[in-house]
Amino acid sequence: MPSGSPTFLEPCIWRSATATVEKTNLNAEHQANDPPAPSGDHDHVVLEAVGVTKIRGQPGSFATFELSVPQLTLRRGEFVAIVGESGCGKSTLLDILALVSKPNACKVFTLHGQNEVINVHEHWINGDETRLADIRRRWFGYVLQTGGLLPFLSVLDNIHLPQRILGKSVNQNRGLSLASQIGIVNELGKKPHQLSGGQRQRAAILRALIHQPPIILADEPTAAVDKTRAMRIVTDFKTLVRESGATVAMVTHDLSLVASVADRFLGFEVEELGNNSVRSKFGAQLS
Amino acid sequence: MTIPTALDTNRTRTVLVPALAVSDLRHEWILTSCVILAIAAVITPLLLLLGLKHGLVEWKRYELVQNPYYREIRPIKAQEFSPEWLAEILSRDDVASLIPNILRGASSVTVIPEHGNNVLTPDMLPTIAGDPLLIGNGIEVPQDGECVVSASMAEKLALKVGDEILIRIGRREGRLIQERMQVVGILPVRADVRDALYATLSFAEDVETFRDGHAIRHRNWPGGIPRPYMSFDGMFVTLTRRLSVAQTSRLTINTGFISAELAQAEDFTSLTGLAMPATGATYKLAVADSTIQLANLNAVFDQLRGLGIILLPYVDTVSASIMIDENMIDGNTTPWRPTAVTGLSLSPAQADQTGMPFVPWGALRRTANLPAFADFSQALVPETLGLEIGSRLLMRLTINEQYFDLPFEVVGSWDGERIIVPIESLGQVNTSRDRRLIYEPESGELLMTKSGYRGFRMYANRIEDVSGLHQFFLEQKIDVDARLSEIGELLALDRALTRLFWLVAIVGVLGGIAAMVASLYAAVERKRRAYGMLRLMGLSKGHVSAIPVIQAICIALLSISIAIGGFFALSFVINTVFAADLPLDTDLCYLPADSLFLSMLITTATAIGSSLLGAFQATRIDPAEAIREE
Repeated sequence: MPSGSPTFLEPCIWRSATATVEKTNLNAEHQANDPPAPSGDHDHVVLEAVGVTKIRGQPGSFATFELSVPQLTLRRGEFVAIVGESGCGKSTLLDILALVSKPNACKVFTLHGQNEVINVHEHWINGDETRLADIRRRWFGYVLQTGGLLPFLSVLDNIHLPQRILGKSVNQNRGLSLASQIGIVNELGKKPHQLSGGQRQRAAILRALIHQPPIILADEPTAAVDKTRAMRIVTDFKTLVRESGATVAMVTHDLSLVASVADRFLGFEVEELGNNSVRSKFGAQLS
Repeated sequence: MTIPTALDTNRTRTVLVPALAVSDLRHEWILTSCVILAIAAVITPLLLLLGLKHGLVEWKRYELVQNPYYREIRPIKAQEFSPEWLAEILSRDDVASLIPNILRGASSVTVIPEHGNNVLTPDMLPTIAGDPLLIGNGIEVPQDGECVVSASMAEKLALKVGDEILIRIGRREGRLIQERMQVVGILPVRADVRDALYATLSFAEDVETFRDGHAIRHRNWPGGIPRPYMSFDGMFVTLTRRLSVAQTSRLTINTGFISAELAQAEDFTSLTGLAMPATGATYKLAVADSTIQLANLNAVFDQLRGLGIILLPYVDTVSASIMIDENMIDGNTTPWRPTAVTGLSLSPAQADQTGMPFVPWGALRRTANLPAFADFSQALVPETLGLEIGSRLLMRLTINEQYFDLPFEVVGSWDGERIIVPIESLGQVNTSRDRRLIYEPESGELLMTKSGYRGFRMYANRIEDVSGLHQFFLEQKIDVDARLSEIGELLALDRALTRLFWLVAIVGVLGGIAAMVASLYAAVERKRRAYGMLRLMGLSKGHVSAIPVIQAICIALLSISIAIGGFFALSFVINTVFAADLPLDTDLCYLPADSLFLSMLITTATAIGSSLLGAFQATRIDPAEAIREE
């Protein structure tokens, strides 16, 4: 589906992704040494959000922007594309999913691990910043629009940073193997500003998944590169996350970019309320 | 699926955060270098200024402190200072040392060097162990037979350490003695500009005593023996018949006595411990408020010459105790047994005439040239003591809380209760009320000695104490000489330089703080996205806020290192180039290690303070800012 105006479809009908994606085994030899990858149990829920609402004031007016998420369920290992034009609430949604923005209303917001269920909603209520930071570093990997690499660290150090933040010993072999898989093995000693836009994004992808987080949030990760390169990056991204078993929620305005890799496509329904106020309902299944 | 745990990660993160902070500094090395150089450029001149202040003032202060000349205080006028008073001064906290001095007039001696023809008459000053003037100048304190000479004297007589000199001391009537002495040290000009010779206090005291006309036996210096004169508390006179009114009144004319009246028997007994003489009449002569001396006795004797008058002076203010057996000292009981003593000197004829006890030593010796005390150390003891004739009796005579342990020979016994000794001996001991007496057991001499010192020189602990001590002596009505103006100038210079330093330091430090605050705050603002990203990746507010603080510490340590290096380089230039023209024997600009360490601490603390705004700003960065792409 080409990019364009938001498409309004029947909301709130979720189904699990059952599409089987062709498995691309890029480097089985290295994989053997890697930490055990999560199983491909696609029925297992990783994130569940129900009745989440975020209201924002619009600067300089009484107008408001309201994002409501009636229900969102992310399952293990699926690649979910969140597609929408600018202004429909993609960033607001991403803030909430990244646990950095507290919603105004929330019924359920839980993360499900193998042996634990984390009630994020409760931590929001308690304002427990430390706990939220702890969850962020254990549960999430982030790929931002221009990578979000730290300019003062080398690419390699950037890639290893999540592991060091977690206090885990750094596995050099894994880093090198993944870097060669994604094609930046010769750029590891450089600073991010010495890399091309595409290489930066590849490094950012590597950094997002190196510590094997259950969920990777990607925010327009290919916005700064041309379409051809973007397609290759997204394909490689898909390959790597499938190997790691992580769940991906990727925000993009370009449906065609993710058409071949995403298991599910979710969109927004934008409703003008008058007085310049806007309500956006997230969760529409795109096809 | 493996979910990473947050267990045991903090320790690693405490290493990670500084590593991130340092990486950031290294990444922006041009900016970092500029900030470091800017801060170093603020600190270096401050260190130089502090070094100069230190160098100048501390050098001068060291000079003053090290040179006891400036801490010296001495009385301007000669007056007598008792040893007790001097000891009290010495015990003060602000007094380092006190050396008694002899009378200025007695201190000039003639010095003849072993070689050469020049003769000099320097002032001799006593010195004692621990004399700061000598020790402060690295010179050992002379022992007996040794001396230290001033530089000026050494130059005039071409003396060097190890030379022998002859010291010639004369006194008014022409007696001259000389002593050989070895020069053991030469005092530099800064300690004494005059011609001066420093000898032991005992030598100087002996010179003073010799000049008073007395012999110093242990040095074989000739002279008189300063035996004490006699002092009595009162006197009775007894004679065969009563005096006429006119004769009675003659007893009070030019005799020093103010009254003469017939004595009462009880009064006589209570004052002398003896029965009233069985003669025609006994008179009691009284003085106003002083003691009776030989002149008074002789005047009375002359007034009634030819009347067969017997003089019975008495001393009733001396209390006595005896030790019969010197081996009785066992520590448990005092060996001293209180007793009563009375003085009586009568010729056998006088004893017959008055019916008073017969004393073997005879009549009262009314002469100024008394024999040695040993001649009077005989005693007639009560029979009840059971002492044999010829045995030794140690008697402790106490006057005004001062006592003398004097040996007496038992020459007889009598049936009274008191020990009778020659009245001359009590009269001599009684003189200790007015003069300081000492008993020399070897010679058996009771001698008058100096009761104090005619001067002193003392040294304050610190130059800051001199002014207070000066004030103290003024309040005691003692005019003293002290180096107040030199000290005042130094302290004023110190204060002025301290103020100047602080003025410059405050301006400089404010500039440094401003530069650092601006730099660190701007750095946080520039890197909002990176900070946001770190927060998004799970670092806490505390972690990210530590980054500017750690960077500030790094900048501070590098800055102060460069500043200290710059300080050493520049102070080397100052000390070699500029100070070459100045008459200094130490560095003009230097800083002790603790000052450098302190400056490092202050710089780091200031840097941490300056980073707090940046640190606060870092805590306010929302992780969402990393996601936001404007």
